[in-house]
Amino acid sequence: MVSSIVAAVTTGQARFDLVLGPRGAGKSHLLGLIEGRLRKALEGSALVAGLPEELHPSSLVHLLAELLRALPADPEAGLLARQLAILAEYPPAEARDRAVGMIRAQLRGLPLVIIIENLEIVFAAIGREGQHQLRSILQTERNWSIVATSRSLSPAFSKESEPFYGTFIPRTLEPLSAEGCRAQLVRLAHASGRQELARELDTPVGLARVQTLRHVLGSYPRAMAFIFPHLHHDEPEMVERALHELAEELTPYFQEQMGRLSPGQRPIAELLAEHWTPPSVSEIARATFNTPATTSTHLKHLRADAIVRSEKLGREHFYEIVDPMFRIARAMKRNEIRATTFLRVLQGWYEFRGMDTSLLPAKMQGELRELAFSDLEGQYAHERIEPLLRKLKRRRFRQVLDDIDKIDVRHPTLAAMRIVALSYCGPEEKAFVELTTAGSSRIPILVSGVLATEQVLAGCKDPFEFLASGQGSSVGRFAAAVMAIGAALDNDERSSLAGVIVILEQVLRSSSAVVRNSATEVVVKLAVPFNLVRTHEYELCGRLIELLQPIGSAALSINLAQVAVQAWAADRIADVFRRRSGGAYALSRDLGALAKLGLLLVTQDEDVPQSVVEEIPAAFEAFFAQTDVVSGKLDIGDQVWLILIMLLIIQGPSLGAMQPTLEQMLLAQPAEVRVWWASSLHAGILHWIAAGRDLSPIAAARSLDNRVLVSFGITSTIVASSNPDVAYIRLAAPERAIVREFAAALGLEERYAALSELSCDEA
Amino acid sequence: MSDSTDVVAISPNPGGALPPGQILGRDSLVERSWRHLEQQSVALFSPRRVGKTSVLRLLEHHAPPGWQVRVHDLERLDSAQAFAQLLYVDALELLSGRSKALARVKGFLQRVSGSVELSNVKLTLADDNWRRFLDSLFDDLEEELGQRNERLVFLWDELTLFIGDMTLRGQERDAMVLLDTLRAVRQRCSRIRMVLTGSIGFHLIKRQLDEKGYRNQPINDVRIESVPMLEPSDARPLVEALLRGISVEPQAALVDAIIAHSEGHPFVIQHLVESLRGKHDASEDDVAASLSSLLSPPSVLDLGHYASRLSKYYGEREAPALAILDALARSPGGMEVDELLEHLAMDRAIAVPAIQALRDDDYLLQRGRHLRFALDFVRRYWCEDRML
Repeated sequence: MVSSIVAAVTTGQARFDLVLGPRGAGKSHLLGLIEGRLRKALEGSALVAGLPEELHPSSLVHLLAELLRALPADPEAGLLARQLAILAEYPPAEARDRAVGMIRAQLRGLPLVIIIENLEIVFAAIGREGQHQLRSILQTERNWSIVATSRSLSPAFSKESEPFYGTFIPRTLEPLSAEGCRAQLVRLAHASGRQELARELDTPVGLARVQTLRHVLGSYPRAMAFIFPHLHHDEPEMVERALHELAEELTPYFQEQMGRLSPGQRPIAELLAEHWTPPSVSEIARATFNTPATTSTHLKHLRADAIVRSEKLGREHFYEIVDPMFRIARAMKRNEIRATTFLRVLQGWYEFRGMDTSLLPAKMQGELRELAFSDLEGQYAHERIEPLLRKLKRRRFRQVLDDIDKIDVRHPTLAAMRIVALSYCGPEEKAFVELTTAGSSRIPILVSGVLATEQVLAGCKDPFEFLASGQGSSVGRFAAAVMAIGAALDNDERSSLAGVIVILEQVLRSSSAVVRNSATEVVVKLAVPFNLVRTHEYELCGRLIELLQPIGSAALSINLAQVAVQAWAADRIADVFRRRSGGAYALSRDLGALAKLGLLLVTQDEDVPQSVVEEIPAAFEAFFAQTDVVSGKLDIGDQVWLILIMLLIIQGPSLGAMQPTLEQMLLAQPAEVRVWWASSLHAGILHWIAAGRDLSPIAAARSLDNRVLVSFGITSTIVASSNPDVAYIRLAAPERAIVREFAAALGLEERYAALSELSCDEA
Repeated sequence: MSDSTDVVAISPNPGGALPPGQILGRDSLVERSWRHLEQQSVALFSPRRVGKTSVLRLLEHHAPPGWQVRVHDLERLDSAQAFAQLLYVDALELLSGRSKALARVKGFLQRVSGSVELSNVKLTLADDNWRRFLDSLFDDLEEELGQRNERLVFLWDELTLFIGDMTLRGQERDAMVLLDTLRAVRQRCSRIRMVLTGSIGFHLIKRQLDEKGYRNQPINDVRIESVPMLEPSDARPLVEALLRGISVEPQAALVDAIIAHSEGHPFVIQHLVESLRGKHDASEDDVAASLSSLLSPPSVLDLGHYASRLSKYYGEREAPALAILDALARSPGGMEVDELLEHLAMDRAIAVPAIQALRDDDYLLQRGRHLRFALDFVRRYWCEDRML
C-alpha cells in the first residue's frame, strides 16, 4: 500500500485507500504503520496529516479544523487556536471555504495525505451533504489523498447514489490464515520466554491445531492475543475459568455494541451469537418471530455495520456473526447455551494442546462426539457441498480452501474436501496432517470422505478403479489404498492386495516423516495391519509395517502387539517383522518399554546396540513404578506385549545377547510386579494352547534359568495331558480377567472362554 | 494532440484523481469536444465512474490558444446564490487587476445593497436578484473577452446533481430560472461556452422539473455527447501503461483479456489491473477471477443500483422497463426491437418510451433496430440478481 500511495502522490495523482476489517482485525495497527512509513517516504515531497482516533466531527468545518490541527504548525500564520476561533465565527459555507484556504496555504503547493480512522463514523457524523462538499473539495484540490479505515464497505463508499461511490480502493484485511495465527502465537511465545510452546506450535501438527482454535475463536490478531495467555491450561476447569475471564473482558464491549443496535436488529444479533452454523433468512425470521422481509431489512443493516456477514449459497443467504468472540461472551452469560459453547471451545483447546480428548471424563467425551456431528444436518453445510465440488472439479483448489476456511463447520465432507484441495495445491504434509488432527474418532469418516471426493473428481466408482486410473493426489491415493485393503479383505478379493501395497509404497516410501506419522495414525486407526495378519497376509502386513513410522501412539502399540501375537501363533513372525523395521521401532523413543522389548524379541535384531539392551531393566523399573500394579491394571496394549514377551521367553532359544539381562531382570522383579509377569505367562500359555501350536517347548521350557521358571510357578501349573496337543493350566481369578481382555484384543473370546472354563474345572 | 502517448507506466488508481498526462484513451473525445466548442456549448453525460471528470481535466489541459478555462465542481453548491457567488469569484480572478471591468455587476451590487466590497466576495442576493446579477456578470465578461479577443469556457462538473439537489430542497423555481438564464447567456454571449456534465441523466432532472410545471427545453442549444466506454484501440495503451505501473509485463494475451473482461470500462480496467498487483505471472484466469470478485457484493461497482434506480426514477414505467431488461438479459446477443415487443406481448405505446428511457440511462445500447445491454457484465449480474 505504501509504495502505491507514494507512487501516486509523487506522480501528481490523488489516491483514496480504504482498509476494511472488523474489530480486532488490526486496522489501527496497520494504519499506524502506514502513516509512519508514509511520513518517512514522502518527507519533503508531501505532508501527511493523521487525524485523531475516535473522531466524531460535528460538521465538515469541524473535520477541516481537525485537519488543520494535524498539520505542522505554520509559524507565519500565527496561533492556530486563534485562527480556529475566528473561523468558528463565520457561517458554515464560508468557514468551510476559509478552512480549505488555510489548509492550502499551509501545504504551500505540496500534496497532502490525510490519515483517518473509522471513516464510516466520520462520514456519518458529517452527513451526506458534508460528504458531497468534501468530495467537491477533493475534486477541486486534486492532490489531497486519503488513507482510511472502516469496519465495512458501508453504503457511503459503495452505493451509486452516494457522493463517494467508487472513490476508495477497498482493501479487506482478511482474517489471518492458520499460518498467520501461528506466526503471531509463536512470536508471542518467544517474547514471553515460552520456547516449548513455540516449538510445539512450529510443527505441522501445531499448525493444524491452531486451525482448530482459529475456527472457534476467530482468526484476527486480537483473538490470538486474547487467547495466548491461556494456552497453558490443560485442565478443563482451568479452561472454563479462562473462558470466564475472557467473557468478563469482552462483555462491556459487546454490551455497548448491542446497545447501539435498533430494537429489531438486537434479537437477530443475539440469535446469531448463539449459533455456530449460519442460519438462513427464513430460519432467522422464524426464530425471532418476524417476517422474512423485515428480517432481511435488519440483516442488511447489520451487514452494512459489519456486525454480521452473509454468504450466498444457491438462492439462499446464510448469516453469521462476524466476531466469534461475541459467541463466547454471549454463551458464558447464558447457562442454557454455555455447555455447548464450552464443549466446542474445549474441543478446539484439547486438539490445540495435542491432547487426546479421551483424557476428559467419559460423559464429556460423549457430548463432544455428539457435538462434532451435530452440524451434519444443517441446510448450510448441505448447500456448501455442491458449489465446492464444482470448484474442485474446475481445479480451483485455492478458492475451495479460501471458501472452507471461512466456515466454522466441522462437517466431515467439507473437512475431506479441504484435505483434497490442500493435497493439490499445498505441501502434501498439510493434507496428511489434517487427516488426523480432528481426533482419531473422525479418521475413518475423513478417509472415506477424501476417497469419495477423489472418486468424484476422477469419475471413478470404487477405490480399485480410482487407483488403476493413476489419477489423484498422494493423500487421495493413500486413502484409496487404505480403503481398498479393507474392501479386498471383506470381499475376499486377495488378488488386488499386492498391487495396493505397491501403491502405498509408492506414496509413502519417499515421503517425509510428517506424512508417514499421519499415515501411521490412519493405518492403525483402521486396524489395517491387524486385518491383514488376521487374514494371513503376513508378508503384505510386513511390507506395510515397514512403511509406518514408530510414533508414540497407544493405537500403534496395540496394533503391533496384536499383529505380533497373531503372527507368533502362525509362526510367521519373521515375515511380518523384518529386522530393520522391528529394530527401528524398538529404537524409537516414543514407544513404551514393553512394546520396545517385545519388538526387540520378535525381530531378534542382533544389530541392536548393547546400550539399548542395557537400558531395558531401568526402563521396566520406571514403567512399573508408574503403574499401579496393586489395584490398577495394565493398558491393553502393554498387557498383550507382556504376554507376548513371556511367550517368547519360554519358547526358548535365540534370546541371544539379551538372555542374561532378561534373566537378571525377571529375577529382580519385586513380588507385587512378579504377579503381572506370572499372570501374563499363564495367559500366554493359554494362547499357546488356543493357537494350536506344538506344546513341547513348554514342557521342555528350559532355555531360561530354572530359577526364573520356578519363580513364576511354571512347573506347577502346567499339566501335560495324555493328549500331547492339549495342556491345562490353572488360572486364578485375576488371571482369568487378564485372559478375557487378552482374548478380546485378539478377537478370540469364544475359543478362550471354552478353554478358560476347562482350566477352571481342572483347578 | 496528446502528450500522453509516450507514457510508459502509470500506477493504477481506481477512483482517484489523475493528472492530465496520465489520462489515456480520451484524446479523440477531447479533440471532438474542442471542435464543437468552437461552435456551441457541450454537455457530457455518462454514468458515474466512466471518466467525465478526467475528460474535463483533459479539456482544460488542452485548451487551444485564445481560450480561458474555468473549472468547477458544482456538487458542493446548495443554491443559485452560491452559484452566482462562485462565478463572481471566477470573474474577479479572470479580470484581476482590471479595475474598470465588471462595471455592470458593481453597479448592480450598488443598487441592491448600497455598497460593494471587492475583497469580500460574500453575496447576499434576495429573491431572484441573483439572476439579474448573473446576467450582468456574463455581460461584463462578454464585453471584457471581446476587448481581449479571447473566449471563455466554463467546465461545470456535476451540474445535473446540483440542479437535482436544488429541486429536492424545494428550490425548483430557482433551478428552472437558472437553467433558462444559462441558456439565454449562451444565446447572447458568443464568446462564452459551457461544458456541462452530470452523472444523473439530464432527462431525469428535466422530468423532475416538468412535474413542477416546467415547460422549456434548457439545453436544446447544446451539443450532447456521452462519455463512452473505451474502444479496444484506446484502451490498449492505458492497460499497457497500468500493467507497467505494477511491474507486470503487458503481454498481448493479458492486455486483451483485461480489455475484453472490462468491456472498455475505465474504472473496471483500473480495478482489474490494481488487483493484479504483485502477480507477475498474471493470466487470463486471474483477470476473470478479479472481475468476478469485483462484481460480488459488497461491490464497489454497486450494480444493484441498476435495479434500484428504476424504482426511484421510472414511476409507472418501472414494470415495462423490468420486463424489457429481463427479456434482454436472457438474450446475450440482444434482440431486434420487433422481436422484443412480440416476445413481451407489450403494447408498443408502453414499451417504446420505456426502451427510450433505458437507452438514455445507459442500460441499453441501440444499434439500428437492435437492442442489447450496454455492458455484458451488467447483463450477467442482472440475470443472477433477478434469478433469471
